[in-house]
Amino acid sequence: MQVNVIFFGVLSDVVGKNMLTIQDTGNMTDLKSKLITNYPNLKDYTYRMAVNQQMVEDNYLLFDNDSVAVMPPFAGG
Amino acid sequence: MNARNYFIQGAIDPVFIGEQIAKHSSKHDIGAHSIFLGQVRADEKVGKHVAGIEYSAYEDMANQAFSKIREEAFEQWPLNCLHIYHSTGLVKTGELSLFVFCSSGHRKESIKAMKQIVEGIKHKVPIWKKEIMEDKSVHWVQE
Repeated sequence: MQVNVIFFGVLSDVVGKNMLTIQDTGNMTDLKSKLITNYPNLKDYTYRMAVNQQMVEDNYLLFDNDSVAVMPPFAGG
Repeated sequence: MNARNYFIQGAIDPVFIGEQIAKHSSKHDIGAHSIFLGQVRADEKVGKHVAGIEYSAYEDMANQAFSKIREEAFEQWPLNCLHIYHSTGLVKTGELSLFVFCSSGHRKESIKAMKQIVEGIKHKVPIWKKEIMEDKSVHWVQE
């Protein structure tokens, strides 16, 4: 199983890309630790995550082909 | 899933704003319009001025958030109309990036509603801005 991760705002510069695929991850806590292992600089940033466009908490279960957005604080207007 | 699009590519043209106001002259139950315009400031950072802002968004999710803000405003206030337009892409200093236009029978409702709508846009919509400085260096705005 795999999930698609999309980075927004400053975080797309931090990881150097807008999108990537992560294999074999079951929930948000696990996904976060995989992301931080691959991109340690993420630790220095505040961000929230959404799955399929809904904000979710850390224990949220992930399913195959879920779309996970990693978003810094919003700054519209 | 969500057909409505609140985004305009680039700056919002003041002529478009005038046209939107004119369109409401046939709605005779309206007695008050509130209009909020967001404009790009030439902030100074480490000796350099902002030349423009590049707006980016998670557009599908942002459009849903804008729709929810509209629905909540209509539930809470007796509004006749509410229109929201937000820029995406580059908006130069002095140009407009946000246009919110709400109308009601009387002034108090549209004024109160506008404050709440603009705060909602600031805090609930996944939009980000990158300041482009005069020397082309960039700076992500972290609020």
